[in-house]
Amino acid sequence: MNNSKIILQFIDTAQKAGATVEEINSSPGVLYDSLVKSISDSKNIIMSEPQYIPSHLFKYFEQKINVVKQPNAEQMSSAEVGITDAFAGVARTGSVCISINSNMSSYISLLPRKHIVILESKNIVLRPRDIFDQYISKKPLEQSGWIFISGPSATADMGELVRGVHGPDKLHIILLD
Amino acid sequence: MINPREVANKSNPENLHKAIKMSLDIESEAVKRNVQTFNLNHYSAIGKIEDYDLLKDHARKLKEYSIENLPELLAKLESSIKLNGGHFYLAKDAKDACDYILKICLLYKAELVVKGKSITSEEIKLNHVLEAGGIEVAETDLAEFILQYSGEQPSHIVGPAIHQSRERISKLFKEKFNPGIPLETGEELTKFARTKLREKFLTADIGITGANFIAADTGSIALVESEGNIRLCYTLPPVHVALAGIEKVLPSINDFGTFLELLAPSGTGQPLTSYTSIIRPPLSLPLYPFNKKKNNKREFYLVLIDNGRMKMRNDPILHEALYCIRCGACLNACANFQSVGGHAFGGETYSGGIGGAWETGTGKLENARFSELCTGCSRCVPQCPVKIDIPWLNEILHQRLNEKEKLKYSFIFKGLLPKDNLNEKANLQKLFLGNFYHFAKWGSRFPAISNKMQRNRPVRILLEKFLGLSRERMLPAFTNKTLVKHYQKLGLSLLKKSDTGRKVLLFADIYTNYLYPARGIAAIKVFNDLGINLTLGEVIPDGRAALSQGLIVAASKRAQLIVQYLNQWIEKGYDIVVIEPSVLAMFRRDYKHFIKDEELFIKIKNHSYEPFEYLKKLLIEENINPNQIFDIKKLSDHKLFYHSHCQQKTIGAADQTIELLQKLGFNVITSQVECCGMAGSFGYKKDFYEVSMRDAEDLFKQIQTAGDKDNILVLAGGISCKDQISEMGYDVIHPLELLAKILVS
Repeated sequence: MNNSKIILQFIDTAQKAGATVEEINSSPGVLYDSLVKSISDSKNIIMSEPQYIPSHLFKYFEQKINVVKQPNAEQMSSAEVGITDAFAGVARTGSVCISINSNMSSYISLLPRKHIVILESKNIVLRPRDIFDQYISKKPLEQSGWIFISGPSATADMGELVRGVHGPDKLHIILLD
Repeated sequence: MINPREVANKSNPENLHKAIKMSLDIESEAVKRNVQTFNLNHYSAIGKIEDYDLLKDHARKLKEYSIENLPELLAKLESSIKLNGGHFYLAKDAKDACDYILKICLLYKAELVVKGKSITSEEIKLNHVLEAGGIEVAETDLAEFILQYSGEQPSHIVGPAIHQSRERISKLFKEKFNPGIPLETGEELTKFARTKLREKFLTADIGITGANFIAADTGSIALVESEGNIRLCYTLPPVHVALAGIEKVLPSINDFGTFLELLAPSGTGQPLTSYTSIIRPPLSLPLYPFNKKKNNKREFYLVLIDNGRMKMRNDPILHEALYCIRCGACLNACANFQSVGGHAFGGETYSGGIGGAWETGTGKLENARFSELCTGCSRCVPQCPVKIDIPWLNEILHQRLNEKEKLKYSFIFKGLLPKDNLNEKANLQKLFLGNFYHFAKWGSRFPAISNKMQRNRPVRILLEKFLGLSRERMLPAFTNKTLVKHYQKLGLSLLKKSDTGRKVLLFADIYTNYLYPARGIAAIKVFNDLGINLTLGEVIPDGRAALSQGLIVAASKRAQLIVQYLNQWIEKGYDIVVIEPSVLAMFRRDYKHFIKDEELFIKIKNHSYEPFEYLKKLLIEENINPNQIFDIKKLSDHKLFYHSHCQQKTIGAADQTIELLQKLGFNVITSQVECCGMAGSFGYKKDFYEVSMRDAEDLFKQIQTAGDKDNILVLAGGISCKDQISEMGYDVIHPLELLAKILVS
């Protein structure tokens, strides 16, 4: 499957899992616009240090928007929006892969009600097994592991599908070409 | 109202009966709705996996290897966990595990523990021990949160509270919490639980999770969820305890890929659940002082439990249950489970088709009495991602339970039974039903008397008292002329010159022969017109009836005789055609357990056909246009409703009927149910009559929607299905009878 088909499949499955997805050009200005729109009028925005996206892409955003990059406990537990990057995506399942390490993505993608994740579309693979293949054999295993995130948190225990349980109720994926 | 906990211990048969009644009255609607949704979603999810069969084969092999080499893998895992800086403990039983975890709590002076969903923790009854030790346990999985307040045990391996409707949950929350805010919709209930539990996550001292898969090479764990509570449990508190059965261990983290691609699609029908965490604890991730206590370093404890699993591993039958990855697919595909859920079709902890083996292995055999709700319909079999033969597990449990029965009157009865029952121990009902053919021989010699007797009310009441056959159910009538007798009359006049050179042995199954010869006659007519040299075989019991009643020895003996018999015909160049699908399924599936010679089993399997399966092969290979043999215009009505027999579907022999009928120009509506619920003798038993009729409701509705008795023709291949559908007053014929009616000649 060629790359553009993979990206199309990813967008479809991610949306079916309950995420919103947008594709943008890889530039600081365009990323700024997207992030601002996605944050809308939320306060208390926390963000993890980018590891997989070139940090220069965030320069406008960080200059203009009040974002906390090293939140303390109070900021972490009261934040409304968390922004992280992802090291990979999976087309078959509509998943983004967040690494678990000292950059706090594990918390920032979990505690706030809205999670915005930025992913380079070239890092989307086809199936979950490809993540294991690539990230174990070629790159060193992410120090403590990673999480496949496929849509916002959800439950069917209350009689119908409800999105937003203990994890975020909104997941927004920004795909950089 | 009965709380399910009161009837959780079903070693007492009265409890099973009460639990079934309670489930049918209160829980059935919610269970059916939720479980049928999972089942439907499952089909569309696995339809998207192009290498599904290969994936299952691979998963099966990985599990066989892992369980075979479990001691070595456990040793490897221990050193990996310790190398990572974690603690490893292998508890021998429930008490050992609970005591150890309590010790951890006391060591860290824990006041509050947050828990993710862990059926294993239910198995060992962990919460009781921790709470008795003065520790607050907050269940954070919504279903477990609900159960914590309702005081019930789980009713499903994956969705423990699917028996609860939203209305009941709303009522429960209002009672327990007195919230002062509206709690009606799913969203309101969920938001309430989120707010209540968020505080617990932030202040908890210890987080306890299960583990879906464990890798021996890296000491990694896979954790699968959708709510986010498990992530919170392992991320926020300084101490993480993961509790799992030893069977969860796999050789390598690379193996996770295969299982994760199967688990969610099989269980809930999602490609992946919202969060699948692949962690290698203790995490090198800073702690946050949310609870204002001292910011300790992270600690990780892996607590594995044996609790009967090593014994299961050594048991020739139960060890297959250790391959289970707890997806719940077998629960969702089961018509009986759909009707009653895990509070009836389940024990103290485990439920559904796979539940009996687990309750036996981790508890005792008597707790698996609910496995009687497994009818052997086999709809769970193609859905199991690790290809466990669930019906076989339950059939052996039935045998083992039979051996523990207190027998009344059976000794009188024994003299009336065929000799291959000499070593069987079972109650009157099972001995009767398992040897049905033997009584059918006599019943059919005096059909007028036997039919009149079984319709006589006092006789029906006696049959109910002594044989447990429900008086509500009309017993099938014996024909006054068996198929064999018909054939002897027809035989010579029908034989044409064989155009195709093909030779078919029509197996004279006992159901067609004694109860329903019309479909056999139809087969003879149709095959004859197609130029096939057809011979009717001898009437020999195939063992299905015995197997269904747990009479394994008798079933095995019958299988040996049949296989020899069939082999003789195959050697002479005959193909075997079998009309009754439950008998064909014996030859193609169940016999593998009885025939030691694998090549012989495969030979029988490859030469046995369902009639339409054979016709399809014939039409293609001989290049015959079916419209030259059959003329649809001979019937005025072309609207058909076709119900596929459960076991027939599983062996891949159902679609051919639909294909041919459609090719001939019929408008075919097909049933969308897993099983009609009659399942041989199951629906006749007084203990299960109501479940059987509840199972049939969906099918009846679908037939009624398709048409009235006068404007739709209902077709079914299995005799059980015909009997069940007849309960709604529609006529049912075998598709072969339809073909015979429209033969051109």
